[in-house]
Amino acid sequence: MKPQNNCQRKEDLVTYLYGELTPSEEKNFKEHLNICSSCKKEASEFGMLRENLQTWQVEETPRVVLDLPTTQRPRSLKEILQELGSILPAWFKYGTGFAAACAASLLLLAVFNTQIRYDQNGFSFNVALFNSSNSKNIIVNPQPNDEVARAMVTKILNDKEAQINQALEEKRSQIEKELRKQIDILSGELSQKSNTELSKVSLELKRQQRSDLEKALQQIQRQRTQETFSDDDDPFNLWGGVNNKVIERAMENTQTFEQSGQ
Amino acid sequence: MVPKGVEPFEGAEQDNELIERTLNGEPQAFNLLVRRWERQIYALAFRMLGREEEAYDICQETFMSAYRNLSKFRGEAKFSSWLYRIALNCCHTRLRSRGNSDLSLEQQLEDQGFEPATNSESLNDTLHRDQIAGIVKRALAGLPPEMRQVIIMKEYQGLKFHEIAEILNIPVSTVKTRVYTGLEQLKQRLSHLRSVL
Repeated sequence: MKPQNNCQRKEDLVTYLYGELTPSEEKNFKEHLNICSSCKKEASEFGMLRENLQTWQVEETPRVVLDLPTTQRPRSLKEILQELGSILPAWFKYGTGFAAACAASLLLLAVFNTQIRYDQNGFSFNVALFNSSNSKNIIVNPQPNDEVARAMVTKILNDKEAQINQALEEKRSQIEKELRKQIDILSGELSQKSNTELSKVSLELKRQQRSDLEKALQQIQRQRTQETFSDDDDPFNLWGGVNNKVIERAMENTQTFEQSGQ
Repeated sequence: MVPKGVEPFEGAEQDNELIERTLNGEPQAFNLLVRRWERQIYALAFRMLGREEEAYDICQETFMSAYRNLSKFRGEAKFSSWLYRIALNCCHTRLRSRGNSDLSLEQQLEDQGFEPATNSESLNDTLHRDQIAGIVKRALAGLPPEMRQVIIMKEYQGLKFHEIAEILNIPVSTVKTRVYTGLEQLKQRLSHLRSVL
């Protein structure tokens, strides 16, 4: 389809047509219409086209009836929480926040094995991750007396050593107990499994023996049957075909009969 | 059937106030929004699809979808723009489900008893308003849906270019180009009315 209007101001044309140009833009475009015959012609044609488009009107609109719930609209969890937040008193909200912050701090201190002590040495602060023996003991405001301090340090070290040894001993006995328990469980399981396997093997062997025995019996029966049917008097042995011995004997009898007849 | 307790809408409250009332647990307030916008949504759907029953279905779908998702409406755009967008999405889904949408829509209009236009000389004398409307309906049905929707929103819904751009989430210049191209194609399709035009 060949375009009738090659002018570049098509967007301005539709904007003008629907009256959405600013007053200055409109003035400018009207001046353009005086010099651009394509746009002028198209503006006129589009104007008449629009009049025709307006002939199609939707006269009747059926009333939309929605089956809305008579109770409250189902709300999301977020909305419910927001409403709960707006209902709760301020002291509760801030109190809960404060309690949560305290709980988080305590948890953090517990994770780092924090020990806070105040004695004659002053205020001490002990931090150790996973109760390490290389824990650092920060002593704030130490006493100036060296001997007392040395004695205190020695005492603390001895105490600490005793605690560590005790803890190690407890841990060792605990591990030993657990290991014994595990070994007992494993040996029990092993014996149970071996019993099960043995019974399976024995059953399989019995089944095999029975099967071999049945096969041997069948073979013996088959041999007996063959012997029964291969009787010398039977000219047509079902198992071996024609009995040659019987035929030879018959031939001899025939020859004897012919000779005697001659 | 109109639900009990719903008065004919007088337009006293703003859309946002009615939305707030609905969100605050007063579902019947939403019916006032329905009364306010059902005519525009139905007209849009009818002109997009060309069938009354489908237009009514689209209307129902649009308002139910709006009701269910009302908490997601943030009020950044106008409520009507949001509704138009939902309605157009429903229309496009329906058109896609039809397959060859344009052809079937035109065929449908012809099946309903509309006589295709001829180039006879007497056409100018015999054309009445209803007949012109029928031809317009058919010509619009022949436009691609993307072009048809902008023509309908501009020409019949009376929306501004920037409002259409907002609804369709496209630049204003694209809307203007589509309107221009749509009018151009309609003019060609209505060429048999050249004497009238």
